Amino acid sequence: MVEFAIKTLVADRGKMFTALVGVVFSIVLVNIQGGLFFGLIQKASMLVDHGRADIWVGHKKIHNVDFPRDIPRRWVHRIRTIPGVAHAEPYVVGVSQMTLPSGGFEPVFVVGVDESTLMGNAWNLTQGRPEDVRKTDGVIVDELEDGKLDQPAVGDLREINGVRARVVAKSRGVMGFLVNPYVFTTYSRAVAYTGKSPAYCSYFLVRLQPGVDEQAVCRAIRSRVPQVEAYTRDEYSRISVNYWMTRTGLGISFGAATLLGLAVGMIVVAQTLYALVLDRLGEFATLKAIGAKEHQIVTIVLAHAILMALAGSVIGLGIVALAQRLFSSPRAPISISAELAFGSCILVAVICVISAMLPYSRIRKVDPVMVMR
Amino acid sequence: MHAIAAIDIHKSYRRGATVTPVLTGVDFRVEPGESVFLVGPSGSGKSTLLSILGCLLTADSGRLEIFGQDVNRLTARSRSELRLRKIGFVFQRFNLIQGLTAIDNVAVPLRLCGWSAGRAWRRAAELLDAVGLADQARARPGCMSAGQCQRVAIARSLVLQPELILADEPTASLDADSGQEVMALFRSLIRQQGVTAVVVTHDPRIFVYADRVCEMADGQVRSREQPSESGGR
Ligand SMILES: Nc1ncnc2c1ncn2[C@@H]1O[C@H](COP(=O)(O)OP(=O)(O)OP(=O)(O)O)[C@@H](O)[C@H]1O
Ligand SMILES: [Mg+2]
Repeated sequence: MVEFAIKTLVADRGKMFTALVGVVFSIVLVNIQGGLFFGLIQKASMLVDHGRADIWVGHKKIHNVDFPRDIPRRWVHRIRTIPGVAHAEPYVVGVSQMTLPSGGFEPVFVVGVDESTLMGNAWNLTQGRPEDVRKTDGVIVDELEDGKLDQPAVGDLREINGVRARVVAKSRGVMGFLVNPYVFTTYSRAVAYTGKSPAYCSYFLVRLQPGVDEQAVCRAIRSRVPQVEAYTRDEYSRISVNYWMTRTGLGISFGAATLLGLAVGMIVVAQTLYALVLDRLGEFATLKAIGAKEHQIVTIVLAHAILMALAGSVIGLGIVALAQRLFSSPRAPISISAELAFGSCILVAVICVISAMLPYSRIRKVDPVMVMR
Repeated sequence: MHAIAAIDIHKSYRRGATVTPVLTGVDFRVEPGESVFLVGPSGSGKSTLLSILGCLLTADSGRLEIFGQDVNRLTARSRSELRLRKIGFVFQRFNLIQGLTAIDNVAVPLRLCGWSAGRAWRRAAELLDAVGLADQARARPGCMSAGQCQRVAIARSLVLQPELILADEPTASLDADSGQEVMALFRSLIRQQGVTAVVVTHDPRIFVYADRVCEMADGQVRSREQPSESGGR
């Protein structure tokens, strides 16, 4: 019966093409929308994802990597004594302002890394090396933020919070969820740039010895320093992402737009499958008259739907891959995971099958005696 | 045992409050291997009777046995099984599947029976050969003449070697010549296979292919005397 379904479907190229357009549209829409969404939301946890720390320790109520609350730096000693901890270093993330040569200014996120380990430093450098941040007044900025920072070249000077800063290296694509550029520097300078007391920091970044259980160390940290919270990299990444997801309604708006598009695509598919069946009602009546069983009819209708879903998914994912190559940029990354791609295909297949039920209900009602009229 | 034994069949159609009695006590028997033609004015209930004989429609009352099987006792599923395995249908408008080639159309009942594609194809090719369309195996109904289409439909109706063929005006959509041709072919095939046939027709020129002609009038079936021009061609 599947073979029968394939042959009858292919015979009606016009309708098959229309339904395919619907499926392809849905697949492309879900993946591009979803990819843009995940690309955007993943920026919220970039520091954590690329920070090379196994555990992030911060104030008891931390909920977003960009908005920490100061904790006394001296607690780091207590954490260093916990078994399994290879090293733990203070880390600063704070807001400040950069004064620009044009006389303008730009709010920036200052990130201060431990001078010896450079844990949590900028990555993907296009000019300079990560260790250049140790140079006098050294800061690393992102080349995609050039417009906001008056096109700083390596070696150029800026001022942050009234303190000298010299661009020593530049990265590409190190951008947060917010519009404020990141400025990477050493811990001691970051304290000066943000006007904090050197007795405080934002986080302790912890590296573990190989094979140590992360959760066990997190628990040990919490009990040794009850005033802090400790999360694994994955946990804190998720928490930072959830912050924007839940507080902005971003998920809802992206989701609603996607669902709407999905609905449009699927209406096209349902309508085409229905038209396909309506045209062929007489043929289904003939099949019933010559003795087709109900399950055989169902198989044909389902096969039509699943074939459409399959063919549409393959074509759709091809287009998505192409679009991703062409249009994904660090500013608007299109991040399509295997789960998203695979999930969208399953979703579309399920909707195709559901929309095939409408024409099927029509076929069910067909009385085979109509072949005699 | 009769091939068909229909006793006192009643059938009326209801549309709202109006009831149209169509069959009012039909008695109709067909011997195995016999070809019976059913004639009668338009609206006399020929198609209705044929639908009942083909288990597509249930009578309001009366008894119907097809090869000794009491049809009224069958479930819907066994009726469709009976249609598939024991009854072949030929329709006025051929009722081929437009998207399928001639050979695929002939193979449809085999596939419905669960035959493998290869086996079904070989059997369908035999039948196409028998109706003289071996060279049209890959043609779709849209590219074939009416006569060719009806020959494909005849091949389809015979492919599972049914015991009974029901044909509703098989020549009505054909011109006179191809009508004669198709009936001659039909007749020789059912003779060969010893199939029982009931053929509804308006066309007196094909009466020569009948063993017996029955007339429908006033909701009943009456036998007519043997056709005057004797025997097939
Ligand atoms: N589904 C139906 N509902 C109501 N009346 C019907 C229905 N089907 C048939 N009839 C009526 O029953 C009568 C017999 O119809 P039937 O089709 O059996 O006649 P027929 O002898 O085959 O006619 P024709 O030679 O024109 O094909 C007609 O008067 C027709 O209008
Ligand atoms: Mg009729």
